[in-house]
This record gives sequence, C-alpha cells and structure tokens, in this order.
Amino acid sequence: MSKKQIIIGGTGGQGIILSGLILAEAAVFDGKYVVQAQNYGPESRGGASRSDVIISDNEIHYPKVKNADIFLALSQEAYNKYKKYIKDDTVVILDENINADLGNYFKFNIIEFVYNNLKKPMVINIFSLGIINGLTNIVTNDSIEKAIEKNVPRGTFEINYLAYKKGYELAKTKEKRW
Amino acid sequence: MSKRLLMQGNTACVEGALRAGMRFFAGYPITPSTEIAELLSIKLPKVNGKFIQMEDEISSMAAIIGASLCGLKSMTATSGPGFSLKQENIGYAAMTEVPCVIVNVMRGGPSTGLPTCVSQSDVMQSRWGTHGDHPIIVIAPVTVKDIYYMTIKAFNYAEAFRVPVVLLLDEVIAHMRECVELDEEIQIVNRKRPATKESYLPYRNEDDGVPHMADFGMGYKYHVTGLVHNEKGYPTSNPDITEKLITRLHKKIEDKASEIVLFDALNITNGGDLLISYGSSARVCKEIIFNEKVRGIGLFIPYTLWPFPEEQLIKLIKDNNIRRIFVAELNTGQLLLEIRRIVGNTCRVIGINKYNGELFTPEDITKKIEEAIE
Repeated sequence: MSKKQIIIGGTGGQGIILSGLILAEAAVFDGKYVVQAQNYGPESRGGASRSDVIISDNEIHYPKVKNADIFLALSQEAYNKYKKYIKDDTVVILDENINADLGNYFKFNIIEFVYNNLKKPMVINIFSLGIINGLTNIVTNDSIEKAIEKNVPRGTFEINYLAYKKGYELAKTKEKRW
Repeated sequence: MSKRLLMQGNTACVEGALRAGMRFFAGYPITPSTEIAELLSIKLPKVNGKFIQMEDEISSMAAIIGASLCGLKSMTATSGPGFSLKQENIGYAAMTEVPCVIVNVMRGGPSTGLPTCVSQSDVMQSRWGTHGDHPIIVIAPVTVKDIYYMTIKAFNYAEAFRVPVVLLLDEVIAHMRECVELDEEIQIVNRKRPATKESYLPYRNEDDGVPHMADFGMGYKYHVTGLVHNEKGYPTSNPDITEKLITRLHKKIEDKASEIVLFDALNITNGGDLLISYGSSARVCKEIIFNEKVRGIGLFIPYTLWPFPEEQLIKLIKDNNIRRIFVAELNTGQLLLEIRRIVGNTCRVIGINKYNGELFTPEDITKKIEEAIE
C-alpha cells in the first residue's frame, strides 16, 4: 500500500465523522501517515455528510479524497452527492436501499441489520467500519479495536465492538464480484 | 521520545495555547472554531485556568484584554462574524499594548456566509479590520503540527512585543485531523515586568520600544486608555507625544521583523515560476510541487502574513531569476495585492482564486498555471 483514499458518506447525525476518525486513528496505530477531513452542512441532523480518510506510507499534503479506493454510502443523498469520486476499481459499499447507477458495488442490509440484530441504531457507523475492514483489511483488527475503545462514549465500547465484529463477519460472507 | 498522535487542528491550537501558558479564555462559540472553546471549557479548569462563555464576541475580546492586564496569558477564538465584532477591542489592545491571541478560523463570508465551508477571505481584515494605524502580527499555519507550534509562537510574540496576535486558521486545517509528532523542546516567552514600583511608568519607552508591564492591581500606578496617552498612560493630544507613540507602536514590530517572520521556500528553480500560498491552499500547492511534479515551479509559504517576509521574498526572486508568480488563495485576491506591492514591476503576478466554499483541487491550480504559460 502506498496510498489509500476512503470516503464514508451518510446523513448528518449517523456518526459518519466519528467512523472516519476511528479508521484514521487505527491507521496511526498501524504506523501510517493519515489525514482525516470532513464535509458537512450547517444542520446537526440530516443533510449529506462525508468523512475523508487518506492512509499512506508517505506524508500527505492534499487533505481531501480525489479518487476513492473505498467508497461507502449509507444514504441516497450521500451517494448522489459523492459518487463523482468513484472510479473503475473503487470498492463501493452501499446500503441495500440505495439505487445505484454506477458499475460494480457491494450491497448490504446495513441499516436493517443493525436495527434487527443489534437494536441500537447509533452503532450503524461502527458496523459500517466492520464491513469496510472485512472487505479490504485496510487497518489491523487490533488497531481498530484500540481506536474504537478510545473514541466511543464511555460505557458503549462493548456494543460498538460487537457491531464492528458483526459488520466484519457479514462482509466476509460476500465473494468479490470482480 | 515523541509520540505519534492523531490530532485535529483546533485541538492542536488548544494544546499549544496551554503549553504556552494560556490560563484565560473568553469566547462565544462559533463554527468552525467551536472545538477550541469546547475543549478549553474542559481543560482550563484542570490547570487552574478560567474559561468563560461570554454573552457575545465583543465582551469576549474585552474580557481577554482585562485578564491579560491582570497578568494572565489570554486568548479568544472565533470565525468571520465574530471576528468583525471583536475589531473595536482589537484596536484597543493594539493601542494599550495588551498581549493577547485572537484565533480566527476562517469560513465563507461576507456576513454569516457559509458556516461550515472553507475560505481565506479574512486576510485583509486580519491586518486592517480595526481602525487607525496600528501594528499587528498575523500567523497562518499549514499543518496540524504547525498549528501547535505557531500557537505557542503567537503567545511568544504577543508577550515579547505587547501586541495582539491573530492566529489565522481556516475550516480545512482547523477541522482536519492528521498524525503529528510533538517535540517537547519549546521556548516560552513571558512579558517583561517592572523590577520596582519606584518611578514606574507604564508606557515608558524601553530600548526595544516595548514598555515593561506590571500586573494590574498589584499596587503599581497605572492608567490605561484607548486615547493617545503619555508615558504615565494619561490622555494627551500633544502632537509630539502622539507622533512618538504611533511611531513606537509600529517600530517595535518593524525593527524586529527579520526575527519575527516565518516562511518556507520549497523546490525553487532558477529561471522558474513561483507559487505563493498559505493555510490550507498551501497544502494543495505542496501536493503539486512534491507529487504532481509540475516542472520549474517552486513554492513560497509565508507563515507570518504580517509582518510579511518581504526582504526574503525579494531576495529569492532576484537570486533565482523568478519569471512569474502565482498567488493561490481561497478568496477573490487579497494577499495578491500585497505581493504585487512587494514585487512591483520585477515580475508578473497572477492570482489563482476560488471562493465557492470548497478547497482547491490540485487540478484547479495546475490548469491556471498552464493557461498562463500558453
């Protein structure tokens, strides 16, 4: 790996920026250069929100994603707004409810799975991180466990780490389609 | 051994301020500077400092002046709309020579503009926002690590020269996180205090033009006013005293400009072109210089926008026979005016500007350079 660019997109309030922060911190624990930047609107809930993470073996200057290597969208609005960053070999991960009009992608019942199995909608962001890492192994599991523990609210580590593991396992069930 | 940390720009500002010895913060939280107030509300009480959320930006600025007069290193943080409101009292701090640091995290303007979007359109306001001829120091960091060290510098300059210092950040570098390694070997400067109460004159001209500063309330005879004043601090309209005061206020900075200015010159090629940029825009320029390998173009980053590293830039242009200068900034062309003033007719100065709330992409800049070359 020399440089990987990741976009996590969703709706404001879903914890998109926190999930980017956790991924970034895990990469720092792995000894990488990391930049995490964000893009959001003035709303505290709603509206498309995006977290950019760049992980590299070298110093990073430009802090935004130019072409995504990994692209995850949890809402139609985020998909529509940010799909311009998808290129031919981007690993695209979408929630089942999103209507996608571009190339290859993985679809998971992210929101429904979390509601039915974990009963805590606030862990959607960490569950998504599990899916990202299950498909790509962009950071080590040890580092991401440490990063989750450090950044989630006190008393919620267990449920968040469980969500991460469930997402990771769900991702492992999918064959790479291309 | 330093430790690698993931740190947000606004957090680096807080850590730098605390490291510099800042113990008083008054503010009125505003995006994209809010994290600074939020974090300090948690951290300052733990080091016996004071955090006050004031009723507005005007009173916040007044409060930090008062705290500094009483001997504490003090700071406020804001964004464009709040920066506008603070201007009157920034002038008061310049006139009364009260050390303080004002953090302005720039967002899109004018007015409430674009609260969550990046901009660099307060550059001229940071220099000339308050009325009257006045000295000011303005520092614009580029990386999260810069923010930490330059916040400390901002306090050092404020204390050394008894001047308000503006730390000019923008939404991108304030909100982004990156890994930093912090080295603990840091120099901390404290204001010079008078040795004795006998014959103390609060505005006496010392050798370096910076009067010694007693803590208000410690029994020194002391008068502070925004009016033109004599060495005792009492109002006067005497033309000789007025001219001497205004001259001293400027000279204490101008005479030390070569020690104050901070800049980087990267990849300078003889007979080539030069990009000049600061803040988050300079990061995009670094990407172009280091990773896109555009030929024959170097980068000059002024970290102190005021005083500007003028002599250093002029020498660099001369020594390297620079042909053209491109000034890349997220506004309609503000630092561009300064560069044109400094460079005069020695070479062509072309502005590269973006003001839609988004950061430049490297292509935005390389395209403009290519167009100019054609």
